[in-house]
Amino acid sequence: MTVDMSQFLETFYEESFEGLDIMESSLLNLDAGAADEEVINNIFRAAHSIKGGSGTFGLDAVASFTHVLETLLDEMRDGRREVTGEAVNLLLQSVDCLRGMLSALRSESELDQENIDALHSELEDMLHGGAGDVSVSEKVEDTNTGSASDGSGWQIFFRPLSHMLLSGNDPVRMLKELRELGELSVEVDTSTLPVLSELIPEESYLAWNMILTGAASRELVDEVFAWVDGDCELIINPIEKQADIAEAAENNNDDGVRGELLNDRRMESSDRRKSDRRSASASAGESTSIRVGIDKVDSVINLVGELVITQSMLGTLGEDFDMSKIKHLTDGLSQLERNTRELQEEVMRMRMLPISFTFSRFPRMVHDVSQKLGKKIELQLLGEQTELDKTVIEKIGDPLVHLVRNSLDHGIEAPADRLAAGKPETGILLLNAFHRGGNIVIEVKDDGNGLNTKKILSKAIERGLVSADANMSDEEINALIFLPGFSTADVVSDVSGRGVGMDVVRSNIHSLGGTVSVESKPGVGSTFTVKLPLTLAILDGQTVSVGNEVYIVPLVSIIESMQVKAEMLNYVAGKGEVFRLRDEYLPIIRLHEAFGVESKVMEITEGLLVVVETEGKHVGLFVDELLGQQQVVIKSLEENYKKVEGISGATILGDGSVALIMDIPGLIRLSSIQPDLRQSA
Amino acid sequence: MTAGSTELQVNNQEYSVVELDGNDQTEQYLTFALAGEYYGVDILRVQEIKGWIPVTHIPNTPVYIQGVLNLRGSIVPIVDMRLRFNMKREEYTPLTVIIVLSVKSEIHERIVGIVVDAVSDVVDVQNDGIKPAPNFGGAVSTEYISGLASVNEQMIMLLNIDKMLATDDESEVLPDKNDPEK
Amino acid sequence: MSNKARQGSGSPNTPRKKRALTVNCEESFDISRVSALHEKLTKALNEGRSVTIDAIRVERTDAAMLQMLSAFARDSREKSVTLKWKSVSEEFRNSANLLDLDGVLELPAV
Repeated sequence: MTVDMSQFLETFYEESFEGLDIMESSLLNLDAGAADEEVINNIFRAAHSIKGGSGTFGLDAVASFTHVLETLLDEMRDGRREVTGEAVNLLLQSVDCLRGMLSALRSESELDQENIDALHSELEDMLHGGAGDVSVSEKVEDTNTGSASDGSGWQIFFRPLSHMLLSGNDPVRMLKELRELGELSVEVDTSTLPVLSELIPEESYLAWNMILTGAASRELVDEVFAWVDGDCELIINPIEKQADIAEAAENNNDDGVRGELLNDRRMESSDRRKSDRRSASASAGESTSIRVGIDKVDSVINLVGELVITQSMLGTLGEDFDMSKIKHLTDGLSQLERNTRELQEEVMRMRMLPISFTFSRFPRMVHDVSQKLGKKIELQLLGEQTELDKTVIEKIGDPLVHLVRNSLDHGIEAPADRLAAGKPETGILLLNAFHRGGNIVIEVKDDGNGLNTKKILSKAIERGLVSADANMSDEEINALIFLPGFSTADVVSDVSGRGVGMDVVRSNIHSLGGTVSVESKPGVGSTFTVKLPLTLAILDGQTVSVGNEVYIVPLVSIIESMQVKAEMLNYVAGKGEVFRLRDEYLPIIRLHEAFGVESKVMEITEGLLVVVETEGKHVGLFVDELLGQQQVVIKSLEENYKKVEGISGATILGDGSVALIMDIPGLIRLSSIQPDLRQSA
Repeated sequence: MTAGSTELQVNNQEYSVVELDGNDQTEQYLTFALAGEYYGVDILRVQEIKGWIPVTHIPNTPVYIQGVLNLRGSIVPIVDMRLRFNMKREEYTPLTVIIVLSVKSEIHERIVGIVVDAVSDVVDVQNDGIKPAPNFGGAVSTEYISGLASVNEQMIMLLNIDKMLATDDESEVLPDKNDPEK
Repeated sequence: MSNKARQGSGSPNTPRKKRALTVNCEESFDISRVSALHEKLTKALNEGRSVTIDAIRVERTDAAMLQMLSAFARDSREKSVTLKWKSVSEEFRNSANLLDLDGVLELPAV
């Protein structure tokens, strides 16, 4: 019967983390140059909300920490304190600290008190160092009078939407805050309060008309309600001094305009807040829930509606069917097919999220890393609204971080070097996401020095990855950095230090069914291009037949397919069958052997070889014939059975039968251990 | 558990009432024929019965895994019961059917189809009429038999499908070599 | 208390003789308790039992609780069911004042 307070607390945490993200991204905007008042306001509002919420839930450590933070921000907002790089860094650290505190409290683990205290006193130092001996609490008072508005107060109408109380926002607390801003008179409207038996206790039915007299600024009033943006009806209008009323009446027009302006501005800022929030939930990481736009849900509901209509139409048709109605039946069936396809597409779309969820972590990272490296770097983000599958979004983060770090560390030169090379001091790092064909392309592009082909080649030769006399184009040399065993640590990037090379980036991207490539011009810059499937649920496949079985080879792995002549074939002891493709000898995997299928086609020359590439290895898959290319919906084998080596899943073909999807890396592993298996069997 | 326990029921929780009632409760089993013997599976576990249709083979799996089928969009493995119990393989006839069962493990619930010679009947078995399976050397190891029931003078071996169709590696590494001679 | 209430309803002829319901408010008298209390008060209102509320211990309350109590206070007047405030803490009174609900609640004068 009682309300579970923890659900409010959870909302508070979620919104606080979003608030911290807003603070962070706004702070990063700040250091670009002169302080924009609106940006500081954003930061202040976020801090203020966290303070308010933490107070409500008795999270005193958080509340007292944010209080200092808030005071500092307040001074900045009023222009009483300069926005220095030092201050921004301290504020950024505070954001991290708060994030840590909130995570710790949420997981009920211990706070890093040492760090908190250290930052706390640093903040205090800065506060007192800059503004004399005024104590913190006194300064709050200061603010109120400091930012006085011209009018003598505000007329406020406030009606919480019915669900507002459930979000942990309590009018009592809010009105208390208002009362601190000046003299507050309140009139309640209970006209919509239902009789007790029909009242839903957690819903809100009341509305308040308030008059706040005093010199409080519009911003301060807005802040009280900042937390309930969108959860209430709110009208705030300035009231003029008694003496001005006559004048106001005369200038009625002007006044109206002014009121509107104020409201417009408010709308704007609330819109911005919302869009901030949307992109901010980004770094929330891998969660199992998903926020879906109401439009997407509506369109699915519409489609289901159509499906129901079609179904009932077909049902009626079936009740007394005769051959004269065959036309109706085929029409109905094709309608059903269309409905089903559209529904499938829509449902898939629900899993799609904008890539801004991944991109949003980069401004901070670029800021931090470039400071550490003493470089000047401007980050540009393009195509942030490009949507892709949630699972892909979650998994593409790390590889992208690695690519970005690589560009920061090694791509973009130090300011002095850039100037010497006749380039602008500030380097540009561009992250660009867009659709191309059935894929998402993400580019990480810098205008730095480009890859050092000479170094790469000598390293590759040293590691025995290529022969010393290999004649390779720059393009081929650059591709070497993705090879396993090519440690990027001391050649391309010297900051990673985590022992993670480009080969890991590539294999991560491969596991998502994607590819990565690099293009580089010495002195001009390099571009890493990541190509990903729109969704993990659908795969572009090549259907091949082996005996009576049909298999799907992921198109992304296929390089080419060919018929081979006998003279291209060879048998190498210890390696088995190989064939010559241009200058290379590639091993052949006979699928009928690997999968234990009876096949009529036993001679390599009678069938086809599908050349596939994975983890830097090329192999030829021997199949009977190619059937066609199609998009297939991936179904799990594990759901009812278990993982099968060499198979990544299954799909259902047009005729309702099941075809298995090949897992190329697994297949290669499988075929190299195959001889032993067969002996033991 | 005898008549004297009726008093207990008054104060006991619901579950124990069910347990006490269970003694003289009857449960329904679907019976099927396999190499001349009759077996039963709990009818509540049966999802559907369908005629044999060709399946897609899965490579590198035990022989008794016939392959997989598309069952309303789910990929369902099909187990040949004769091969599962090392019996002689028979050609599939028009009577050959797939019984689709829901199999439970500690982790999750799976759907598995079993191929049997023919379905015979749905029978009521009284719980107190179930006898423990002696090690009598039938084709099926007693490990997978939860009990024996006699219906219309026909002996039915009630199968523990959860154990029999478990996929964890142990049960597959260990082939069913139990008493192969008998 | 609920046991007695059930026994009491066993004699439908004498509803007015039922004992008054006394609500001893907790320190945190807010949305987390409002559902339970709402149920009790709705029942009391239907059965015509008078209600006494002791809000002396309240250290925190909120709009959800005050709103529900207001609905009860208003309805109890209409049904001539007695609502008595035994004592009221400063915080409770302040919060009610702030929301302009002290009138509807008919809080006793200080």
